[in-house]
Amino acid sequence: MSKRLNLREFQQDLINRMQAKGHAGDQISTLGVQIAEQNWLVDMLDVSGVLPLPPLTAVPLTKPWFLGVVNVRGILFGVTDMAAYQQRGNASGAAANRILLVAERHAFNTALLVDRVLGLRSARLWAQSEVNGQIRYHDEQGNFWHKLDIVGLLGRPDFLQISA
Amino acid sequence: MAFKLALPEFNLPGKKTAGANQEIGSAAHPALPESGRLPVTQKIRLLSGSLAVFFAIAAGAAYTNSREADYTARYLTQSGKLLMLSQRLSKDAQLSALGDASAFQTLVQSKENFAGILRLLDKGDGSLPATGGAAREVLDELMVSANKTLSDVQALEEGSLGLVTLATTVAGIEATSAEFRNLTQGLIRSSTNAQKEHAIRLALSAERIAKDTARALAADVSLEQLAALDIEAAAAEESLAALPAADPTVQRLTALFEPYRNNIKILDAQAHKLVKAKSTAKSILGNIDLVLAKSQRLIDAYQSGVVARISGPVTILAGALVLLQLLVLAKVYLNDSRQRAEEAENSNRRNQAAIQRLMDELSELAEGDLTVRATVSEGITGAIADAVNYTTEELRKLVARIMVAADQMGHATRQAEQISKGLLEAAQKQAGEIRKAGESVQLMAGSIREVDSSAAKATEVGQRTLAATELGGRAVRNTIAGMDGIREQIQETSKRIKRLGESSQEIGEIVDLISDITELTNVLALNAAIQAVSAGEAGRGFSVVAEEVQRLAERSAEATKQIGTLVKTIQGDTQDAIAAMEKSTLGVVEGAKLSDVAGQSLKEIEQVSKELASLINSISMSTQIQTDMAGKVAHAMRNILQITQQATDGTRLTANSVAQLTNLSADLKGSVAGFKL
Repeated sequence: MSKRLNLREFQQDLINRMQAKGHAGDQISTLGVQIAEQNWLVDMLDVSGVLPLPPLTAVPLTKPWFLGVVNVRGILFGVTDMAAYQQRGNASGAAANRILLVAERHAFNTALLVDRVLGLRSARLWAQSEVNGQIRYHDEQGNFWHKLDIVGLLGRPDFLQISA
Repeated sequence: MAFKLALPEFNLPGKKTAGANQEIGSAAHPALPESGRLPVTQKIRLLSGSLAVFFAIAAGAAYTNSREADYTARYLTQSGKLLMLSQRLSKDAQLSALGDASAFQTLVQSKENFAGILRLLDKGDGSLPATGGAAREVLDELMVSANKTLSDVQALEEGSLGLVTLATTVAGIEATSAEFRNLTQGLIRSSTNAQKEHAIRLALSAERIAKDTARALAADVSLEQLAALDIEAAAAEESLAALPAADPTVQRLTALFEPYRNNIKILDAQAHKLVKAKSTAKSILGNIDLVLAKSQRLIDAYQSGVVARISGPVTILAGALVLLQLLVLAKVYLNDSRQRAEEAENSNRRNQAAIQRLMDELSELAEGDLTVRATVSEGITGAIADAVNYTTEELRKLVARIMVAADQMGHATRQAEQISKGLLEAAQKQAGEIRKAGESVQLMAGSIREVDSSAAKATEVGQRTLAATELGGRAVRNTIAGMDGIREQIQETSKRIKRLGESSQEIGEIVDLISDITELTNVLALNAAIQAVSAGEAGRGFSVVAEEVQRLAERSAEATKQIGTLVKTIQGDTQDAIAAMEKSTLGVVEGAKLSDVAGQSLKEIEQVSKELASLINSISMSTQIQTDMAGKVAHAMRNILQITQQATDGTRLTANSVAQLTNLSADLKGSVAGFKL
């Protein structure tokens, strides 16, 4: 029963951490996701929300990785299958699939479909290495992580060209 | 057998010689009557006859004489008693008339004796005939008088009560009269005029009563006297009543007078009988003299009867004749015997000479020479010699035959001896075999007894088996019941497990729901965290909370996943358990079936053990019968052994007899060898 939580301790710990956040700048600002069996870190400032995959409206004559559009609270978003975009198969289609809404400040109504969201992850204490010009992180369990550069992605012409 | 065959041959010549002797004897006898003694025998016969007749007469006469003398003596005794009794009767009658009670008893006794003797003389009894002859007339006369006297005595007896009362009254009055007189005189002296008169009258009456009663007892009595006595008594009573009752003297007088009056009353009642008794007493006295005289005459008559008898002289005469006859007979007999002796002497002398010669001739025969022959002459010995010659010849043949037979017998006995020896050995061997057989039978009986005891033990074991089988059957039944219980429990458990499975399914569904909720929570937490990050500095605290919420959601998701896995596992296990349960149920059913089969088998075992027990029982009975039979056989063997021993003994005896027979045949041969043939 060691897994059981002590509510008092939990509350105390939470308060302590909240107070500590007030002084130091160790806020976790990245989100861990899984795309085609690979772990990616996404900056939360680039994301405005996470949703389960809503019903899609397919758009004809588009690239295979452009799955269609969805309506989220009255705003339409174009959905890109990241696995298909990276040419490593398709999204698993399981219940754990999520779409990441790109932040409003980028003024780009697009959503990225990932296999699953792993949760908040901070790469601050992880070791990093560089392979083929790309930064790679090693977490405590020995998993590799890549950094997903959404701003860079939004600036890529093949991403922007969806018509087939 | 040889003897038996030989005997008739031996006898035949003997018979012949006996026949020859008879012929000789019958030839000699007719010579005897020639000697002239025939008249003598006739004489003796005649004399003997007459002697017997006279002896019979004498004996008869003597017997009659003695019997009559005896009768007469008894008659005389009885008539003498009659005389004595009649005198006693007269004396007792006088005493009775005076009222003597004991005289009455002797009177009655004398009367009965008298009547008894009269009856005896008149009719007789078993040993004495009735009186006859001259005495009869006298007896008849006596009986007329005696019967009258006896009837008188009877009458006197009837009046006995009156007479006795009279006598007691007189005695009572005499006893009290002196006192009575004194009392009355005292009363006369002491009384006043009227009373004095009564007292005087009473005294007079009492005196008169005393006098009258005394006279009535002593002399004759009449009805008038008794009436007067009655009147006097009444007068005395009247006078006594007139006197003052309170006076003690008068009371005493009344008491004294009471018996007077009572006795006078009884006398009054008995008056007639009293008067009659007095008269009969007088008549007895008058009659008894006649009876006495007649009794005396009867005695005389009996005595004269003795003189008149004729049997005495007849006896004497017959006796004398008998004596005479005896004398004559003796003389005749003596003469005859003397003559016969002389004749016999002559004949003897002749015969002796002839016999001497014959004996001389036969002396060699006696030494065993059977070839000797006697001379046949004319005399008495001639026939004897002829017969002896014939006998000798026959004897010679016989001896020769005996010798042959003795030889044969010796041969036969030797054979018989051998045979009997063989028999003896065989019998002994047989006895041995039989003894062995008997022992075998005993052993057999023993083993049969063992079998019997084993059978008894087997019966016991069978009983135990039966009991064990019954226990087994019960156990099997219990097992079956237990298995049924197990099956039911398994079915129950199976149901519960199914329900558990269903519950886990539900849990799974709930876990799915929780999982969905967790996902949503996770998403919400992420969004919150994103919002917090985008809020910048202001969202820092919130970002921590969002972060925590997100982490919790993640852990919840993990836990939920684990639960789901566990539920899956539980469901799989439940399925396995249900399958196992079904298998167990099948196994239990199979087990119940097997137990049923076992129970059946046990029942069969029970049946079999029962049959086995009955079989063993029958074996036991059979062995019992066998034991009995073996016992009987052993008994029979013993009997046979005994018989065989008897047979052996018999054979031994036979062997001995045969040996003796051999000796005897040798002896026979030796004894016959002495003869010269």
